[in-house]
Amino acid sequence: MIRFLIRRILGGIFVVLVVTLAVFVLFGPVLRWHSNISPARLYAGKNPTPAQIERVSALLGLDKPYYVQYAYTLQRLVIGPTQEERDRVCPGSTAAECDQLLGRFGSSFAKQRSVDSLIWEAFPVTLSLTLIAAVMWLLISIPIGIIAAIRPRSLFDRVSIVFVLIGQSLPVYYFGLLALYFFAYKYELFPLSGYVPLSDPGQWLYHLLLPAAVLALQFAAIYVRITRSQMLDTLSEDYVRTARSKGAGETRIIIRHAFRNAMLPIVTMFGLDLGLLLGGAILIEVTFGLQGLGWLAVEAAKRLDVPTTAGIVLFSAILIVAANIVVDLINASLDPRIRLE
Amino acid sequence: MALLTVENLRTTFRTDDGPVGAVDGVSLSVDAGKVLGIVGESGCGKSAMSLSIMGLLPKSATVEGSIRLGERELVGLPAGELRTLRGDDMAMIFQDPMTSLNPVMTIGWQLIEAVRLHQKVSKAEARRMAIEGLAAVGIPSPEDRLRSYPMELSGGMRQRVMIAMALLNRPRLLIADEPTTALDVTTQAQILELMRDLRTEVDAAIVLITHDLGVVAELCDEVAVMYAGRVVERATVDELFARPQHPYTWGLLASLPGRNLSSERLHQIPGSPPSLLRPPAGCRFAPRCPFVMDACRTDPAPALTSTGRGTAAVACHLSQDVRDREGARHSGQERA
Repeated sequence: MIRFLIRRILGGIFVVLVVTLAVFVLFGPVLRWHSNISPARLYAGKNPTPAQIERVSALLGLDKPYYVQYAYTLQRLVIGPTQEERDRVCPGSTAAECDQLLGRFGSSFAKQRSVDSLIWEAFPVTLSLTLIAAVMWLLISIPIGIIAAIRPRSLFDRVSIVFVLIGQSLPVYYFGLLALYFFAYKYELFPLSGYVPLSDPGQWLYHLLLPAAVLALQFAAIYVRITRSQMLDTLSEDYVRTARSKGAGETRIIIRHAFRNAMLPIVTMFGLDLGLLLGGAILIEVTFGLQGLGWLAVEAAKRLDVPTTAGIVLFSAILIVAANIVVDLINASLDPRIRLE
Repeated sequence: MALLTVENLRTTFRTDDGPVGAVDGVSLSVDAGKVLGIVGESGCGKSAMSLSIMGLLPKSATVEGSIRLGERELVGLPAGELRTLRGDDMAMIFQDPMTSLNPVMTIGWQLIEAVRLHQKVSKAEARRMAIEGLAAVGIPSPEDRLRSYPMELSGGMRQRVMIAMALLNRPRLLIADEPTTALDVTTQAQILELMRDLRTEVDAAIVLITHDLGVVAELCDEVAVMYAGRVVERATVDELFARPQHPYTWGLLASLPGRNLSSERLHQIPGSPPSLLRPPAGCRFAPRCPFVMDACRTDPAPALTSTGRGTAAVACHLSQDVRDREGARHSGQERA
């Protein structure tokens, strides 16, 4: 088990390395060659002189060869910015002040803030939204999927298929706006937008319920479908027949024997979806005015804020890799066939 | 007094193409301590019959007729009551031990579950019974095996676990559905030997379903030969091998590999079993029977009638003389 864990973590580190390289190449040389956009040109103000561009270039370290820049990007990601860069970017300020301007993910000159501080400000919003939505969609979809599988072709099953179709085909920006119009504007059951930190749990939940519900509906549809098909498969397995021949009751057969096996692929999918959403649920966040990672990414892209965009991409990638490792660990604890390999 | 009595059992599956009569009027009985072999090729209804007895058929199947376990009528019994009998009074071993055990639960968990579903005993006591059960079927270091997962055991060991699990609650009826078919030949022999030992130890009636007459000869007291959902011949094992009466049985016996491993090809019965969706009007074996007469195709299917020798009975239009003469030619004695 320990070896399994170490192997997965090493694999994860390798993937993150590949992503950092891809991000560096895409937002550095490629952007420059393709669109002739250089960060130095962007930050040098309106109509800069070549001398001004050169000064900014030196300030950002862009005058060095690419491999030096990449090596430094990696170093900064792991151990933080060096004193030399601190002196260069924020001369004369205290360490605490400089932390606000420069971090492991670099610095957003558009906002005059470190990318780290922007991400850590936005992440709790996305995390709250995702977790509430995840609880909702699991609580909705798994019971529905199981019941639909127990009684295939029944009225319940058919109604659930309609639900799946609606959930999957309604785009979030459309359904989200409908929900906002009816539940927030017309009947004033929920606030129109905004986020309240967890320090006020009641308001926190109140502000997140509607966006989370809209997000959950979409995912619930997918999870109903996968739960149903997984349950149909496992219910026809020989070991379920064995459990029946032992005289086990239906509930026991469904939960302990069939669902216990059916949940393995569901856990896998859930982990990946969670990782993906934590990187920012862009449409929902924009629709409901929640200033999470997705919203931050859209804002950064609009302003051509290259360091912030690159930072969010990298941060999301790390989350997805971490989610993958957690999923593997959970699956290994649930399934001896993975653990004992 | 027969422990299991099946009378005029009809098992019908609803399908999109219409009803399929998988079991069509089967009657048989087994005494406690005896082994009844049920022989026939794939699709002849042997598994459908055993699942009917256990009440394990899907909802798309209807079961008519009578199945009595001791005094108790099982057909029409409420699901809840049938469930309390399953795994307790009657137990079943399945064909494929590789897929019949839950892959994500330990052997111990599955055995203890089997005990505690029917007996109000502590976990420790159930565990002790599980260890005893594993030891009884010849599994080495049974205590360690409780912690194993099915994937860690060989096919033969898994089948032993299945047998141990079926016997944990000392069932009165044990149904074994092709228990050796999915195993390799040496393991088959070991499992057969285990079952032979067990039949003297457990005083249960055993129904052994197989397509292998060799297995029947080794283990069974009586045999019923099934073809296309019906019993076509019934006899004691000795009688069946000495004086087989039905042309289908002759075909089965002729298909057995003999002692002399000559290059001669094995006999095979020409054709394939009829569709049970629209079975032939007369005798169902008529289209493949080398002795077929006009009456076989036109007259109603022959009923199972006594041959006058003990309990032996056959469902065939051929005259007793012809059957005796041809039967002698195909008797198992000549090959043994």
